[in-house]
Formats: sequence, structure tokens, C-alpha cells
Amino acid sequence: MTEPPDETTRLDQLRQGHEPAFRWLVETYQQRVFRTALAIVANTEEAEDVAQEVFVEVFQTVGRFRGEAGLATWLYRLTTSRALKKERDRKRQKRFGFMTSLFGTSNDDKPDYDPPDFETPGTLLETDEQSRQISRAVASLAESQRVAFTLHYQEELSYQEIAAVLQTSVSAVESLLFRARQTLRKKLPKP
Amino acid sequence: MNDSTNNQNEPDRWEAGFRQWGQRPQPELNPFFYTRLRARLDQSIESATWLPFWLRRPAYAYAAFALLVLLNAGVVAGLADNTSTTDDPGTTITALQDEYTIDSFVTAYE
Repeated sequence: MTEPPDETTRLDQLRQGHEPAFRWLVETYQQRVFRTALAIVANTEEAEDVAQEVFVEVFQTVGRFRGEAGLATWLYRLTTSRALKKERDRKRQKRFGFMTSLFGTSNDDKPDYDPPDFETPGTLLETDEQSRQISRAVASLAESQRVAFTLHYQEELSYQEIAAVLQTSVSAVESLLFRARQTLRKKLPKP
Repeated sequence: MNDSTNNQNEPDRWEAGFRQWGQRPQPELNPFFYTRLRARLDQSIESATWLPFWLRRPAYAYAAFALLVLLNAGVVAGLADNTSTTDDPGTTITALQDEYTIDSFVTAYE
């Protein structure tokens, strides 16, 4: 993750509502934001929705952003928190849909809850069986472990950068990644 | 010997597997993402302009709400005071006697 050299200038332009600066920001980071969201929500429509929410929030709150963290760190932080919130909401709706289907209160023939998430366009692209198995196991990790694992192996962020995104210490990140690896080793067949 | 070599390489194999997972092919965003984002942004700005300017900032909205609660609390406290003064029969009689200059001992025997 390399920051553009003129980030301070871009940030000033963003604060002034400079349209080309905002366009630059979106075009530079949109794929990273989308990919990170997709690792958490596992659905391309929801991942795009998260990406849009993130950039709308950036546009609306950049005036209050003090620049203590880097722009990329801030974007990863917004993305992971928004994606986790969306995922929690989806799970809540799923549970509610299951309950209503039990009580027979649903009027639709269609199920109120989503089908299993694993056969999404994102996962269909994963031709490699091992990657598919890892994706499935990563989806079952605790939220913070999942975020740390994704940021480290997918986004190739250093421990320091992950610590800045999660607003925690480097040792806490090490611990999260250690536990994530241990859990995955238990759940996955030996390579 | 062979087993020990395999065990030694196992963490590396896991690590390689995780790194391979990190580089798996991922779907791209649909084209014209910026156009869709811009439309959403314009829509949010448009809906925000329906609110008065002082309500668009949370601090002002909270302050307005707090003021409303304080005013209501003041009205309730005022009403409670009035009720307590008018409900006391002794105070009401004394006020009446003072107003009409009635001596309670005299009127009782006259």
C-alpha cells in the first residue's frame, strides 16, 4: 500500500469540495474498497453498496478528518466497519426470516432470508479448490480475526497498518492473526 | 527423516496457501461506478436540503431537542407548583380572608 506523494494537497482539495480530487480518490481506491468489502459481505451487490456508502461518508465528513491516519487507513477503517455492520444486519434479517418462516407469518412464496452465500460470483471465480475452502473457513472466523486476516493476506497490509485501521496495538494484531491461523488450520485439510 | 522434513515445511505450506488465497482472482466493480456514486451523492444532498440548515448539523439538532425537553420540564414544574398552592385548603381560606378582611373568630360566632 503506497500513498500518493501529494496526499496532503489532495486532502485539502477534498475538504474544499474539489470535484476532480474526489474523482481521483474514488478511482484510486474503489477497487481496494470493493475487494475488502467483498471479503466480509461475500456478495457483489452488497460490496458495491458498502463501497458507495464509504465514498459518500468520505465526501460528507472529509472536512472533519484531521489526517492523523493516512487516507488509505481511513478508507479501510470505514470499509471494514460498514461491511461488518451490513453483514450483522443481514444475519439479523436472516434470523428474523427464519423465525417468521417457523411461525408461518410470511406471505411470500419466496424465502425471506438469503440463500447460502458461498456460491456468489466472487467465489465462483475461485477455481482453485483450496482458495474456496479457505474463503469458507475465513467466513466463519470472528469479525476482528476475519478483518485482520483479509487486510494482511489479501490487501497485503503490514501489522502496523492493520493496527492503525483497527485502532489497536501491533501485538493485538499479531494475536488476532495467530488465532485466525490456528482456527483455519483446525478447520482446513492439511496442505 | 522424511516426516520431520514434512513437519518442518508445514507452516510454510499453510502460509503459501493463505498467500495464494490473498491473490485469488476477484470480481471487478461494475463499470461506471463513479456515475452511480455521483447520483447517490446528489440524491443524498437533495434530500438533506429539505431540512432547515440548523437541523442538518447534529449538534444543532441535539441542542434544539434539549431546549424542547427543558421547556417541557419547565412547564410541567410550573403546573406542579400551581397545583400544590391551590390544592392546600388552608392557604386558600387565608387568602380569601385576607382579601375580604374577614376575622375568622368573629364570623364564627356572629
